[in-house]
Amino acid sequence: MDIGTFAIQLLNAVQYGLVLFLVASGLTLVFGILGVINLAHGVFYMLGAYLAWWLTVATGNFAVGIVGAFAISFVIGLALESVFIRRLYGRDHLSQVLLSFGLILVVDELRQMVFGRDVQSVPLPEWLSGSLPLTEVLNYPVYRLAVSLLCLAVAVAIFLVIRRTRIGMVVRAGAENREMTRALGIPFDSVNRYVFAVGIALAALAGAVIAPISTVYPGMGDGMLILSFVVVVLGGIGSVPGAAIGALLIGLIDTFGKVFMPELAGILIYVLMAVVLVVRPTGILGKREV
Amino acid sequence: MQPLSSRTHLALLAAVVAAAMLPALVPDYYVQFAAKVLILGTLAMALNLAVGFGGLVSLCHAAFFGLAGYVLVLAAPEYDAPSLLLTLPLAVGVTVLVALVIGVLSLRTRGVYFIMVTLAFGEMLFFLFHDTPIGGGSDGLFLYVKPVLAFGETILLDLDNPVTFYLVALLMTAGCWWFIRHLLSTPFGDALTAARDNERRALALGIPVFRVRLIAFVVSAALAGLAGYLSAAQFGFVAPQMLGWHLSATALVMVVLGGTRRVAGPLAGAFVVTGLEEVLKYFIDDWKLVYGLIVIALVLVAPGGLQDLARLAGLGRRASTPALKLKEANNVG
Amino acid sequence: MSADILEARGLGKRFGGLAACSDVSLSVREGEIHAVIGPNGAGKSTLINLLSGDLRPTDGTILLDGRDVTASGPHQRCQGGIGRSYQKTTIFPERTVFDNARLAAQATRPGALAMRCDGKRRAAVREAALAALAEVGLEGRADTPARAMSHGEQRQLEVAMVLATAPRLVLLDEPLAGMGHAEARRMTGLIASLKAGRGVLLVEHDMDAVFAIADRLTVMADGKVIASGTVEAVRRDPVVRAAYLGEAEEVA
Repeated sequence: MDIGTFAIQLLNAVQYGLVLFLVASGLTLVFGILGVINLAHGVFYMLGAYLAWWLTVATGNFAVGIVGAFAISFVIGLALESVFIRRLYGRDHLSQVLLSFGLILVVDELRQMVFGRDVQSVPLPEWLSGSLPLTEVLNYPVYRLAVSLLCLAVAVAIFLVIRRTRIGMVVRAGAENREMTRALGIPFDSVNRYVFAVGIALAALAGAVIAPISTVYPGMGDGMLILSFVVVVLGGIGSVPGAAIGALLIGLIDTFGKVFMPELAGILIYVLMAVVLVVRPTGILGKREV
Repeated sequence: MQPLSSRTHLALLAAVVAAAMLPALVPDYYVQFAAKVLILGTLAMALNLAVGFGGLVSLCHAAFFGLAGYVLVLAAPEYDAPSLLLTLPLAVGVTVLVALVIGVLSLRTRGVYFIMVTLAFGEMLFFLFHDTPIGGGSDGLFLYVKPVLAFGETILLDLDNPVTFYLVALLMTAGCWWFIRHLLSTPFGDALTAARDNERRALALGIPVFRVRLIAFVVSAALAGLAGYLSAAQFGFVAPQMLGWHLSATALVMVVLGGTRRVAGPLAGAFVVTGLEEVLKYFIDDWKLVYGLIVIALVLVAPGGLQDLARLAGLGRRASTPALKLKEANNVG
Repeated sequence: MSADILEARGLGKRFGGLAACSDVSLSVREGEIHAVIGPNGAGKSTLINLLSGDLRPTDGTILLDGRDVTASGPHQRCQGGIGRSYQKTTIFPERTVFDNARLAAQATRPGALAMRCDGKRRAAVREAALAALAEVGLEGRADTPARAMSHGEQRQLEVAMVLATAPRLVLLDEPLAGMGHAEARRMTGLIASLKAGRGVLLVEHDMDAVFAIADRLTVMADGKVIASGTVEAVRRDPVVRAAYLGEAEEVA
């Protein structure tokens, strides 16, 4: 592999990892702060892609598609938290698994009623569809670079919000000690609602930005859900930096696995997960059990 | 649980005999439906050994179910009837080995990690059959000739006959019920439920929690494999969906609907869920929407399953006796 | 003098940068009650968790009957003869008193994980469970659901569960915590009777009870042992008086 191809694969790996991080960070925050395992997370990745497709085609404006997918999912997230998810706080995991399984069926069927079951593709606007020359013979698509930069910006924003703002302080306190947060009179309920809605919206955003590169199809959320679970297991539940490490690791292993060991690429991430389970069952940045 | 009394044995025998009458009373379509319920009911009972009695919420039991089905189809000769005596132990054996590996890794984790890890390993098997040519890829494989039990030239059991198949499924279900119920009355069952209720205390009492859970996980996978073998034999077809986690989740719905603290509960859950699915499919195009809403309502309104529903419908006068109250408290805990 | 059942040498446990326990050495002999006292945060609970195997030590070794058990888990140590109670009552509340004791008795006897029902084994386990209940005075409550009992009775049940595992060494973590006066007196009598044929390591705040029944005392502060010896010797120790007993008497 020459240096140019390597660079392109590396860029692809990072881009993939960053998109995965958007999905997984929402999942890990929702679990870390709300204590809820949400199997329906992947379905919103799919929904984001369909929303982006529908809005882009309807308005002719790709930016509207992306922003709209994020905003609409955010509102859906607020509604779902108020109606369903808040009733799961403190319930056993089994109930959470079942309720979110029910949500998957409902959202998936509604998507079919509204958008149909066809495979769709999202057209790119001209200013994003070019390529940048990397070497004399190799080009890199502008859009993939833009996806990486956007995801990176969102990732930095997530870190800044958690580290620097009052809301972030509440989020951190909530993840550390739920009762303490409540005792201090911190408005936990509204924080919960926003965390859930942001988590859902991040998954949808990831689906929306990936839509022009991949295709938009009904089952696209399932694979993403499994991958983000693996990311969370690798990184440690509730840890956003852990999710970042896990997502980038999977991006690298999957991309280069497909280059060097195409037959085994599908299995490699599970091997990685098995190794982490043997060495550190609570994840790379997870709290160690005593 | 108390050891099985001779009264329980008599009741089981009576139930099996009564159920064996079914083919004489109803058309073939219902016999096949009943066999399907028995198979899914066995899967759900097997899953509940892990979930309800072991406290291990596994999302990879469909993978064990499907794996055993695939092994049957892959091991079967193309135009001859596969031997039940050869293929059944092979299918269950492979399932046990895979469950052992997945169990050793997954049981290093607890709670929500365990759910995620089992889901991921289950999907690994799904992708193994979906993305590689071993099992015909996403199209799946056909089993052209059903398994038979034969001695020399004499065919004792031919699973191609729907009535024979139903009776075999019935025996398997009754056998599974008996086995799980028996297991729970042994010291092993005590250790398993003690570890579920309080892991730390169980360890401090000298119970090797990891080993106990691993055995229970593998046993429940083996029973799920048994059901998967028969499922592949019934439909003569295996596809990756059979291993997918949507089936695992559906089996969990059966478990919760039927009640997690009763061995036979998931069987009742399987009957209701499978029946509901048939009815909804018949009347409604977007039946999954209704089904999904029913699952959500189940969690929110009747987390105790059919027992809760009976009470909500005003049928549960018995529920006011103290003994049942204690049982309800158990369900909550 | 009988030999040491348990010996801890240079035991230490760090949580990150914090040393909860450091360089603790002590031993428990058959037929004695060895009490560990000290202010809150002295590392007493950590010590019990290290001895029972609930925590792995960062330094030091633990010998049970001269065998190194430092690397064994809690269930292996229980099989080896260490039984423990928890500071916060840890029983199976939804089961009956008898079932709690039966689980404990069954787990340490042959066939603990058997997948067959065996009438003879069942009878032996039943006998052991009832004997343990009788030893703590709960034989009359066998069929009561554990959660329906008073706090004091639940603590007694926890001791019965420990006894049902046939331990040679009993670790008790604040068995009198939260008890009324009469209950505490009964429990103190019970603990005093446990040392026959066994060794007892007792962590307790109630000084009157400790001075009444302990044969040896170890005083801890800030994770370290500051004094150890007979009750009389420790009581006279000026360091202890200054550092700990003075305060305790004022508080009490």
